Amino acid sequence: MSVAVIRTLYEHHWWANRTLLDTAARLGEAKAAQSIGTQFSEPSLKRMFFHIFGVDGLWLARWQGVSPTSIPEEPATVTDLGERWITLEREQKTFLDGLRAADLERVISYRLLSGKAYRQPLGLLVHHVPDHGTHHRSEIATMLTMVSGSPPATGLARFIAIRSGQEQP
Amino acid sequence: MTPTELYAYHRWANRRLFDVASALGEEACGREIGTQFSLPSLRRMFAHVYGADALWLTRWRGQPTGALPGGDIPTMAALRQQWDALVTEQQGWVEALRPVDLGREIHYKDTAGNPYHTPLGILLTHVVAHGNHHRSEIATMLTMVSTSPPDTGIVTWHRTVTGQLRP
Repeated sequence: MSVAVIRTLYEHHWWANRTLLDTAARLGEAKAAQSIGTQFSEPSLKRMFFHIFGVDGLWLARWQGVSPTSIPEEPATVTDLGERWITLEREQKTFLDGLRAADLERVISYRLLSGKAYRQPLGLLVHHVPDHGTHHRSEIATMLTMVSGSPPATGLARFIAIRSGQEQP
Repeated sequence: MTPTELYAYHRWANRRLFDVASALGEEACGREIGTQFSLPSLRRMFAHVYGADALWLTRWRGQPTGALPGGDIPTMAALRQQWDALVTEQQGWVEALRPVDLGREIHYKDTAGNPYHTPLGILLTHVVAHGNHHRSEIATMLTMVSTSPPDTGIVTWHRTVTGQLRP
């Protein structure tokens, strides 16, 4: 996939995260922090959003040669998380703006939080982050359906249709 | 990531979860698990991923499409047969693509008849992302009816195929 497609995947990722975060924020902090079920990979909406945010930050650091050994502290509220996320998105955008096609072939050596080491091409890793977001946004959509109602669709095809004026937001 | 690699991943992820679900038996896969999911049972969810893949392949080829196929497939075994045939077709088509094809604008209609156009490179990614969305639901469903299934993320796939992680 080209650098241009990868940048589009992140524009979609940011839009989809924000669409669902705003939906959750409108339900109020108490509902966002409520435990919904152990069948999900995180128990509450807030924790699930924080997981996406935290993992995005981990990968951005690894791409730049730093393997963090801990994740940042969880913000107190969904509103605080939304504000911190703006800064992270800006940092991701700066990194993506500097990417050239040849960088995608570069092999990144990194360690998990557990210390286990892996080596994988940057092109795969930059693809993984929006994919990881899609996985957890799907859980968030199910959680929102359970606590309130089915949220707006946040798929890539819909994002492209809206952005190109083929569909109303 | 080339389209060939992306679809090798997509096939691996679908197959990994399909095999876990199939091992639970036809009854468990046909059981309604909850209205909070976009499809009520494991079988219907897998059939939806299959159906969307089939629909998009038809659109990429510039052929007209009708309703989403797959909803009436009665068993996991029958779905497997149809899916295997689609997988062969899809793999052949994707692997024949040249880099220049990815920028080609695909004109298609959604199931309601509304016209759209999007570059093929984006649509190729969309189909895998669509699979990820529903594989996430499948993972939650499997956790509810049995236990948490193995991870099917693209990083895990790559670690596995490069021998950095045991299958």
